[in-house]
Amino acid sequence: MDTMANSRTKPEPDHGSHGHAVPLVYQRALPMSPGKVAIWLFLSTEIMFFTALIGTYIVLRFGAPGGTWPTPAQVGVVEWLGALNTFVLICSSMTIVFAYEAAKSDRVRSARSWLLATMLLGLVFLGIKGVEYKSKYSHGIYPRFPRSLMHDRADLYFVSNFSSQLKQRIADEEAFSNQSPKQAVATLERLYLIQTGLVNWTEKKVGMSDDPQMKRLALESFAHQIHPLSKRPDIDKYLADEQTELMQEQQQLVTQQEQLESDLATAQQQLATLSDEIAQLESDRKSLVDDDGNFPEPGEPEQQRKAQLESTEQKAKSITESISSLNQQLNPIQRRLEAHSAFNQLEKGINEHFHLKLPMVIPSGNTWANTYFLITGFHALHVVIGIIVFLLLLPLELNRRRAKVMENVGLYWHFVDIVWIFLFPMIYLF
Amino acid sequence: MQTDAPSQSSPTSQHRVFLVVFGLLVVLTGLSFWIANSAIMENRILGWSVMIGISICKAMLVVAFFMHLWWERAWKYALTIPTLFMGCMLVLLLVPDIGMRTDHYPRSRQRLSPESITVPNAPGYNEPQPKSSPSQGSKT
Amino acid sequence: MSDMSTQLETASKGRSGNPILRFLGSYVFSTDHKIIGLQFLFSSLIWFAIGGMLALAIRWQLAFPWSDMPIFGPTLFASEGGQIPGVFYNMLFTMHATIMIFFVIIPILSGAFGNYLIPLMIGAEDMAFPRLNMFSYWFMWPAFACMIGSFFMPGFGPTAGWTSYPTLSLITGDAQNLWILGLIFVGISSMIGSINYMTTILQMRAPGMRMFRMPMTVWALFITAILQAFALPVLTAALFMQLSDRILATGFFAPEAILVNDTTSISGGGEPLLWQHLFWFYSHPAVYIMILPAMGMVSDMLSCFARKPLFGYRPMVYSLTAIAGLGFVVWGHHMFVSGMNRILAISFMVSTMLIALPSGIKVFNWLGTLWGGRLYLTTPMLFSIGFVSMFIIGGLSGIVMAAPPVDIQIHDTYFIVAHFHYVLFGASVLGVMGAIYFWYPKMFGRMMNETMGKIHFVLTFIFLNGTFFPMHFLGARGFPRRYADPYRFEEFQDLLPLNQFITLCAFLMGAAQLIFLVNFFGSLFWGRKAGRNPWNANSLEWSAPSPPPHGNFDFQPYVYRGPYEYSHPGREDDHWPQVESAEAPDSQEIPSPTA
Repeated sequence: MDTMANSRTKPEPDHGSHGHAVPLVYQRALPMSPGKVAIWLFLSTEIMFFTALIGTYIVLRFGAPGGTWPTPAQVGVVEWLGALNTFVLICSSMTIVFAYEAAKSDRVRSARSWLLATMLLGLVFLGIKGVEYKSKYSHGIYPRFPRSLMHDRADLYFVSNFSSQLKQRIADEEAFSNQSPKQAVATLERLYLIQTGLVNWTEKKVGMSDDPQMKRLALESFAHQIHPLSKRPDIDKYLADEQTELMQEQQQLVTQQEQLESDLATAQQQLATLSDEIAQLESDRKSLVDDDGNFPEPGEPEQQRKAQLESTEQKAKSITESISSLNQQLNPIQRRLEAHSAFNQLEKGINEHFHLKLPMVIPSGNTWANTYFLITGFHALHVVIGIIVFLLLLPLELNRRRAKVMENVGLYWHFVDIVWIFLFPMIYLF
Repeated sequence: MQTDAPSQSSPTSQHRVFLVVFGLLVVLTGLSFWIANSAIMENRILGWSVMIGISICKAMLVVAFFMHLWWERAWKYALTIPTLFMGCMLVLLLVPDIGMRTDHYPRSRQRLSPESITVPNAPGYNEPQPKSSPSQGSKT
Repeated sequence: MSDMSTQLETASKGRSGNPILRFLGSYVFSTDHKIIGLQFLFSSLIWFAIGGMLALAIRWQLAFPWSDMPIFGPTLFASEGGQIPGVFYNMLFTMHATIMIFFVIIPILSGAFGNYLIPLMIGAEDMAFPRLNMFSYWFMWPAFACMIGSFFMPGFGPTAGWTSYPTLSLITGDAQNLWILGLIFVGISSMIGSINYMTTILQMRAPGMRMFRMPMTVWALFITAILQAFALPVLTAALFMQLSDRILATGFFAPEAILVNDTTSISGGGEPLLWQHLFWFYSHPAVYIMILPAMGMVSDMLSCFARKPLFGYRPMVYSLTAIAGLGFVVWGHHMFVSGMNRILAISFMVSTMLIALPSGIKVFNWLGTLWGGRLYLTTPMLFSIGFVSMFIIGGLSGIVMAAPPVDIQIHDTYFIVAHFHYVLFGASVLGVMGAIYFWYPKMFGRMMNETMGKIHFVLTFIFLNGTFFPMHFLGARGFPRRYADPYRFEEFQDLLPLNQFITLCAFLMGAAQLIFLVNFFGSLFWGRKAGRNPWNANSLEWSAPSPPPHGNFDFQPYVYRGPYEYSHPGREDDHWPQVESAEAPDSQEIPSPTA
């Protein structure tokens, strides 16, 4: 930059006095230093560069399938931060103008302080940008290999990716909790609940249902609970309906269970009575021992009771079995209801609320992240280059002779500002 | 923003111009921020056009005054107009093929496309589509 | 920092120091535009040899499919019996095209001749930014490193074709990353160079050198610089996007849900066609970047050796501008079969056919320049006439394929290969060769051997037509390009003899370049000493010493007229140098340009 900005000294014509080379005079097409011509040409190439980048953003955005494109809120873009950054850059544009004006009129100290102000404002811009990037990173909104956390739609690929990432997370947490127990227990409990109450439930529900509408709702409500994109009354209703339905079912099952348990209790009581009676009868019989030491054959009542005992045992066993099967039915429902009560009220979804960074559904979210990082990244790179140039200029004496350099650097900085002027509404407000 | 700001002992008329431009830029930024959160955005196309219009105004203010093009000679047109023309042309010629790419997606590609999860009649998930219907209409 | 005096100081310091430092100072880390031009020239010639070898390897495979290939076979594939694998063939055509386009023709035209000629022809002591100019050459070296390195990556090198279309380019081996990086560096180099050229031409012309007194070479290089400055950033942006698609898992050019081998998954949501648009937005203007400077140089040579003013100087300039302007709106004709919008395709067809108008004007004016002239059939003149005739053939076939119905038939056949080799080799390379013969005395102070030059021209001309003309027939038969073994299809099996003939011609053409090599390097030592103006030409560089010193001119050039005042009526001399004033020249102020 400073190489380009340095203007040549224009030597006076001096014909033929040197041995083999003379300083030459030139005619200029434009009334300005070559440095300024070059910086303007450079800026027009930069316009084409950013046209390609922003054009890519525009066509990918408006060509996104079915009009899907995440709103700023869905990807956690904070509008006022963007507006603040715009303000910061506008301020820096003005300070560099004042720095140039000061240098032009040989006010060296003033030029330096304005330049310093410009540089600090550039750093503030980068700082805010850094905060935004960090928030994108902590939400998992960025491209990565083997695939990003963002899924374009709630389908079984999403569920299976979610499931495998969750398993990985659980394994990690378990290893961690072995090292320092108690700390990770709450997290681990929550992860188990997500696994049973959400993932397994949704997989089962989608696998067993034949109704595509139900499948869609099940998958979408799952995605919604992980990372809600907007208010979805249909999903809220679906979840509420499911909750009441499950509560009824649970009630029924619990009643059944109680019934069965009372049956079991009766049967066990019966068993106890029967075995008492059998024991009584047996001891009665054994008291009638003959000389050869033989007991009399068991009598009719005893045999009857023994058969009864067997059948009651069978019955008790079957009741126990049905209780356990009932428990198997009841358990997922209970887990699901626990999940309902734990996760339904979360305004921002599980990912956001517990900082979990698990796969989520943001339609066109990948393309959003790609273009966002592309254009803001290259813009930030230009800001960094500008700041480096300011750093190189700061130690110099910014007098009238260097005003041309200041002007060229200012032109570049204004261009960076203009790019941001277009990026601000496109990224933050559209 | 700067404690040891230089004393503007003799603010020239240009300085006043710069301050006015700065004020306008701030106001316009606020305006587009306000529009984004106002009822105008219910008509999104209108809102977008107004915001881009505001951005163009801001960019022209910066170019004209901060970058001194207002005071430059005719070369400014020779440089800026072809560049802007070429930039606009590049983007516009991308529109039919990429900006409207989902309008003519084949059925096979629609299935893989990121389906809007709010579309009520979305096809079933992961169910094999009947392959014998390639001539189905384009997506709505 | 770019001050002339400091430069002279360093130059003289270098002269007094030890010989290695002296060599480095004056030939390697030089900010002199002439040295930088020669650096570009020599590195381009080396790459020309490498690219030519790759081309011959391609021809070998097509003439003798799966036989043991000389050189490559025994060294690389001894275990396979010298037979190359198919993917190696993909590398061959990819790297042949990449090297020839980005490392030979563009650097030799705008890098070598642009650097060497612009300051000399407009009467400047150097470029506007000499140090930046040095950087523009030094940015080529990372590119060279990337390209050479990519040969040693697994999978023999980049194999996605020079167009690097996604999705193939997203899933090929890591050599593609180096390829992309290399192109980014070339782009930075060209961009720095072109800004420098434009500034120099705008701001550093000698007094009296109005824009419309500049030689066609300078005009062509100026317009080429504009093309590069506006088109290259788009390619650079697209290359960055493709690189990030490959290494950062973005998906600008990846369609949705791509799964390859169950391992590579691309996040998708992008559009492969976007790459094609962005790529051709640069690469079609690049086609003109590869021919416009040659057109300018040929115009100068034709006028000089016909001893006639250039026919229609201003129309020539306007047609150059028109070609450049139209060149920006025709890129879609490379994509007629890509499934692009049909209405867009028609508009691209119309604009493509419109380019025939300015090109026709140029051809007409070249012929008009030759008409009735006193032709001196020197080697540069022969090459220039060769340029015009080959350009007519290549241009005409270009108009044919501008129509989508024709293009859809012949797309990716050898007809296309024939077309662009006629333009790029037949026209551009012949123009470059002619320019080397023409400006060699200025560059090195010695003449190249005329007899060897003429033999070189005749052999090159014959074998170039023998190589590329039959490709039209292959293409009309549908013979596909980029196939390692097209004979797998029965209908192409009878084309094998024709392909063997082409290969024979190609090898002979390659051999003919050895004459050029011998002539080039031999004349450095044994060539006849050339004076300032061996060709009796008019433009400014011929008024400077040969070779010109640092600072170029030993007098202050003032320009009094255009560069094409040959055989001016009422003048004894048949040439009238631009620096010669109408009055009797003041020998003190302006030394006689003819030494």
